[in-house]
Amino acid sequence: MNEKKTTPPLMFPGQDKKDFYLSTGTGHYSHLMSSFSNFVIGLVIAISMGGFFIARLLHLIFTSTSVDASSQSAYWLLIIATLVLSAAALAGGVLAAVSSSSQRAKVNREEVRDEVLIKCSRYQAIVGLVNVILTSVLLALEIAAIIILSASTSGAVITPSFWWIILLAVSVLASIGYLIISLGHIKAVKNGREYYLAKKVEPISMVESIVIGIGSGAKNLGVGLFNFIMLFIKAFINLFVALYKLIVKVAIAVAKFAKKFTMTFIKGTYRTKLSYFFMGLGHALMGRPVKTILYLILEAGYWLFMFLPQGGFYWLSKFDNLGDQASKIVYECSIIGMPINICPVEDQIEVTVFMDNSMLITLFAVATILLTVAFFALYWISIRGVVKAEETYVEALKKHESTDDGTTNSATQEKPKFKSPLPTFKNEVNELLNSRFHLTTLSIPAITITVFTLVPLVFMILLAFTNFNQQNGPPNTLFTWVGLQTFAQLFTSVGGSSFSKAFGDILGWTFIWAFFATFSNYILGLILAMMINRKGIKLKKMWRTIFVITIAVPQFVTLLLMSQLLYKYGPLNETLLRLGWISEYIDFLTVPLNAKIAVILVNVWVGVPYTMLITSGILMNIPDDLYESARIDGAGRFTQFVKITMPYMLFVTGPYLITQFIGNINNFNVIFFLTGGGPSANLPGVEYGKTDILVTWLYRLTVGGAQQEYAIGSALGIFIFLISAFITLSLYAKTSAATQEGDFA
Amino acid sequence: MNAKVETKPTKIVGNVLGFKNQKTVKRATNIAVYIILAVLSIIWLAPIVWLILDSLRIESTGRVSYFIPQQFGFDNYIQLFTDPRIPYLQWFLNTFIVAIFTSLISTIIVLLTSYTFSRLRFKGRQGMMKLLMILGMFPGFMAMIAIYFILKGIGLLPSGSEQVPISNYLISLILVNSSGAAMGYLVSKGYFDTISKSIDEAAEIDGANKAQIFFKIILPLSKPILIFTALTSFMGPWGDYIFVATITRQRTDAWTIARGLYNMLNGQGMVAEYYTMFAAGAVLISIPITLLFIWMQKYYVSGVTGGAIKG
Repeated sequence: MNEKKTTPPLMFPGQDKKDFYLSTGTGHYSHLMSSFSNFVIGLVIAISMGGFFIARLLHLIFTSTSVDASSQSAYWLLIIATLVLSAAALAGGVLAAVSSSSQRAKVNREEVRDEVLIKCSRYQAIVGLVNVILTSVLLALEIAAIIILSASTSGAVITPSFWWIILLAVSVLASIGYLIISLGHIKAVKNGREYYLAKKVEPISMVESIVIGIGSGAKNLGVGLFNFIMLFIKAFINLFVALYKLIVKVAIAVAKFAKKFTMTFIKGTYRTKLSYFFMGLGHALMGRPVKTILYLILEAGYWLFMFLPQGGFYWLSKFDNLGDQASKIVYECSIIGMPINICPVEDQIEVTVFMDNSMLITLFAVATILLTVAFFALYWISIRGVVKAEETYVEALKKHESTDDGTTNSATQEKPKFKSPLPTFKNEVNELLNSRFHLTTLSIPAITITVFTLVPLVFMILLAFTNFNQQNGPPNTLFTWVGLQTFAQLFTSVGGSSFSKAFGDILGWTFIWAFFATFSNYILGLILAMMINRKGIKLKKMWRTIFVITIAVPQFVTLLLMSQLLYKYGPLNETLLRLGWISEYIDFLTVPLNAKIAVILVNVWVGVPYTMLITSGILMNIPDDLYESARIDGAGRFTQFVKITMPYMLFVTGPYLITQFIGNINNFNVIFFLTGGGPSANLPGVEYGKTDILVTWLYRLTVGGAQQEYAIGSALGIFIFLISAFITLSLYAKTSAATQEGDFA
Repeated sequence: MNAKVETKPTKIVGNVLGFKNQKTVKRATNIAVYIILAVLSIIWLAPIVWLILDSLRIESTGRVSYFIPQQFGFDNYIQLFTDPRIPYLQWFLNTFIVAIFTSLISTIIVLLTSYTFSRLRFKGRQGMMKLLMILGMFPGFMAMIAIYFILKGIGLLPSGSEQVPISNYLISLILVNSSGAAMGYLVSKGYFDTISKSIDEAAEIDGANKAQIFFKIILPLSKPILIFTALTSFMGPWGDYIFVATITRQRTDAWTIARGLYNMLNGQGMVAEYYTMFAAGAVLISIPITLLFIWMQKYYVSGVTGGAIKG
């Protein structure tokens, strides 16, 4: 008995740890798993029954007075019956949860003996059976209510909702599950006892392996969920810490640079000092005029640009308030050539002259700022170049002046000419193809990225701090800086704007959509890949090619096609009608909930071949001996899947899943081509639809719709970026494939 | 503890039920899987078959509620090239031009960038890679609105109601499509990383500079990834709707295929007349792209995954 203190609590005294292994062992884990899963099920039943009870109670209180005479009796019977039954089921659910958790507590307190456990589980089985009966009766009553009340001519008083049916069905299934788990647990305990008594391992039946698998799965799920949430919280905190560290680093770097800048000037020779004012002049003084000329041209070009009438400083001056006057009316004479002061009044026409254009101001000011930054970098590089070159030059000069190596021409007392050790211009050009090749190769991409990605992005980010929309837009009106007001408009309801409501709706749906889209594709693709990969299946390549063809067809074609297929009066509805499966046309795309489900399903059609291909390749790489050894140890097929296939797949495809998730957050095509954003939400002032995700709403706000809310669109875009960046950075660090490479097993 | 481990449960099941049944169980499952696969294949291929059928339908041109046409014919295909409201050929040409130039420019940029990051070491290399990764996380659409304004500002695109030549639009589209090319350097970089560095060193000993190494040695070795990059960037503009819609707005003859086909279904009052032509147009455009895609798969396998370390 004393050994108990050093080992985890065991069920059967004397049994030691290595006798327990998850796939066939019973004991500590089995009890914890089944009690945990039963606890959860009990909660589910309790919550759903409680909700049902409260709903019916409220109905009783608030609408019972408006029932007419003919359906009075049916109504009262129904209400009382459902109230009583749901209260009983609620109690049953609570009892189930409590008994499971008390069982777990007992297990943890090492108070158990196998007889106690069996008694506990029998008790739970009875509770489970009672719950099954109660919830089934409730479900039957509800269904009867639909049939009876819809047939009555006075019209349905209680409209039994579709949702309650689903809820009740879930409760029935949950109760059945509870019953099964309790029964399975009894069997497992008995098995364990026989094991202990006979000291041999019995083969575990499929039911048991399912039960144990579900139990451990539930536990892992709970632990996994907890870790997942903690991950995001930690990532959030890390973000602020990293941000703070970054700011500190930048500040220090700036200070250091300022010091270096001034010190180089102060300590420099005359060549260096001159180069501060005339870029690259030092090179000319060391015998390399070509480089100096190039630098000077650049410098002249820059200053010319800045001081020209429509040049840099002009734009910068207007940057603070983005323009003073958008346009003005000027009078011109319609008689050609006549000056305005002698023009008769009836010949004068009004002409609008456009002056400040806020958008162009923002754009060009940003370009000027970036240009200035680039020029300053070049300027500093030129100075550093002079300083470095000077070192070698001065040293060589000193050496030349001080040595007397006997090459002096004794007649003329002249020394041979000083050869500068610095590379000539031609040498430098050659170096661009060798040690400085990266400058050549990256120059074009750098320019294209700067002009077409960096400048536009900075421009758009700045727009989010203005009030650019249809009312405040060029060329007729100006827009100006409003600080964080646009963000406030988007995220809160300040100023009576309804954007925040739209934003909240859309944000929620975006995440739901991304989650379901990613995981439905992944799991279904995996199952499909597993089916094709099975040992007995022939023509594997043919099956794969069939599915690959569907992704070879361009996506917009298939999506537009799908939108026609699901049209209310389209062939799908018509065929279903003819087959008798439905009794009237289903509104696939115009009812919000249907549209959402339709979008997810169509995305499955579009995406499963992709995931099938990827998981196929990985599945084929799982070493077979892992499965072999598991089979020898007695693991059933389901256990093999859960314990070998899934962990391996998740390990290798972790980064892929993350990229897919973020990709689905930004998946414009599927949603746009299928529903265009979906049935309109009819919110006055804000245009959005019920299947809109963040990007499609962005499109609608800026280009696609009648509104031109560029400022809000920019704020939205920044938000999308922050979400993507946040998720990527926090999850990438965690996935094992990113941190460890190499063998999974 | 000497636990006597029993052998596989299937054997036990087999012993209980009789040995024959074990094999039948396996065969039955296989047959079930075959049936499921067949059903799934039908579900997956059905819409495409339906598209082809609809493109051959000539008894009506709008949406109908049945799958199989009553009369077959090629009228839709012919009308595609003769209808004045549908400049299909023009769209095809536009898309082709944009795709070719985008492919050219993108491939050059991507290969240069990924080679630089893979082979050359210089100060700021890590910083630049991180910067590119972060830039790639912005929704591309945001930059596109800004590029639209920039192009309007410099006069390439009309700011009022004046007309500019189609080539302006095409140039804008080419710029827009190839601007983000460098941010897709990861795949090519992975490929370059797998080329052994000793080749570089041998060439250096022989006196080649880095530029020569790249053009004369590495590039010929990278045919798979070159073709893969060229093909993927070629196929991009064919299916791109959002950029084209933003840049070309209502200018019908500057549209690309995706925009034009979209309009045939969703334009004002278009669907009743043009649905079957949409089907025909879609079929016509799907054939070359499907073939290209299948051809590209070969290079994808040898270029992207070939030589990779299998976990």
